[in-house]
Amino acid sequence: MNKSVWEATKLNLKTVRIPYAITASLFVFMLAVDLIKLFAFWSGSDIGEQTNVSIGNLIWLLIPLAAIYIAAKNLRRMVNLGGKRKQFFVGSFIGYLILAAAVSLAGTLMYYFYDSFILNTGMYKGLINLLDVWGWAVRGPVIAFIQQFVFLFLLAVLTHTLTLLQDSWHGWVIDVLIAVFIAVFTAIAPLRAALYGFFRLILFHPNAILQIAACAILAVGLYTLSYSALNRKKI
Amino acid sequence: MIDFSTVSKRYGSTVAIDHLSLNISEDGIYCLLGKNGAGKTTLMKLLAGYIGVTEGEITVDGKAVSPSRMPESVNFVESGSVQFNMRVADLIESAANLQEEFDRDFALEMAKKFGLALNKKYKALSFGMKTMLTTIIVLANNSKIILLDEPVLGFDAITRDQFNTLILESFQSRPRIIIVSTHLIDEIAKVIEQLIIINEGRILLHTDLGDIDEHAYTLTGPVQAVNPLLSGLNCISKTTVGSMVAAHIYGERITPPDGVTLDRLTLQDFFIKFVGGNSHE
Repeated sequence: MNKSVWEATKLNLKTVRIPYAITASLFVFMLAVDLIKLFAFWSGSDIGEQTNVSIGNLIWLLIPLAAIYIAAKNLRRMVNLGGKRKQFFVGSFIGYLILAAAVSLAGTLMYYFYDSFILNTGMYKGLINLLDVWGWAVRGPVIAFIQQFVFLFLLAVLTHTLTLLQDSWHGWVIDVLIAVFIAVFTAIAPLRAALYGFFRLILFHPNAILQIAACAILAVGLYTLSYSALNRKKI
Repeated sequence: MIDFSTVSKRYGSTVAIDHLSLNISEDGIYCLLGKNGAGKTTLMKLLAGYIGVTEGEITVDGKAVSPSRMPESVNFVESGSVQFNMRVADLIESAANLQEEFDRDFALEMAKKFGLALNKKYKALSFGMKTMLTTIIVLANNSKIILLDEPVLGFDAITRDQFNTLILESFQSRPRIIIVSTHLIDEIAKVIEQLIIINEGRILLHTDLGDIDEHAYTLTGPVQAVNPLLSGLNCISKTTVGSMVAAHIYGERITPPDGVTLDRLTLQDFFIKFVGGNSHE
């Protein structure tokens, strides 16, 4: 890999301290809550909850937060260091791949180790994890990791592109169009079916390969389109 | 090398650059002078490809410049530009990795010379040191064209002097086009070679400093002695107090008659008279 592109990637990953801090704080807080409940449960207290949401999904928060931060803040700073838009473009792409892979790995480990541990204690009757909700865990940890990874990558690319667009009136128009699109498609039955079909494809399609391919193609296509927004972004 | 061909830039109904044409082909340190709002920053941003033109074309080495085609050979330091909050040494290292022909040794040497603590984080530096660091990073690049927008704004006199030395040393070690916009004209005059005056988005003057030294002067004396001399001269401004007049000339140098004195105009005074251009009775 080109040295300058790798530097752009490293800068993006190193400088998103606020997203790291927010995600880590929330995660630690929720973990502490879980552990306090566990000790209370072991000491015989009734914690009064049948099911709970897995804290493993909380780590996903890092993806949109980092994408907003990178798209909004880092281009200007990178240019001030002598970087170019193209380096930022490719460096951000690789950065999102790395972030999505890391978060997916953490999410998968949380699901298979932490969630299993919590469930085995008998503290909760059930734990809601999106890997279960969207059926990604049924084919084992590797496929769960990949399905989660491509979805998170798509989420990063979508957030990055929308954030880049907020610089101009185009972005506000697209925001309104997305809101209108969802409202109209939810209200009208045939369109609702189409919207459902779209989310089924990228989230919980029973064919994992189709879901992985759909997310990957959408992410790469969207990121390619975001280059024109990046070129128009004022520094 | 740099060519602006009838370039205009409008922000809504505001005209920042108005059918401006400019050609710079020789290496040198150029001073871009203009009042606030004259179009200096816009001109630099256009040349760096930070923003696009409304009309006309800008080329660098024959290649059109636009936000999607930021010229590789141009580096721009905006006034008050920000950096990642990293240690000075890490910022220099990152810049070296981002730029192909970055002179790391020059950057480290200059950082040491100007007292930049390599272990300090960017946000812990003073305003002047932040600007100094950004400028060092840009000057250490092998770019053929360097643009510095109001770089000494907020500097004390000592830092301004150090800064001017930095520019001069950089130019001597690597001759290229360095364009500096500033209001502190007389200080920068020690290092610049060429002067570009911009007003209301148009180039009023593009000349070398020797030309100003040679052709900008003030004739002072009684009104009846000075006024007849002015016919045929390019009087850019005139101040009359009682029976005495000071006429500021940019043009052919004359030998004044007895009773009339001729004084060289400082660059700052020349700029004020040339751009202000008003006569005061």
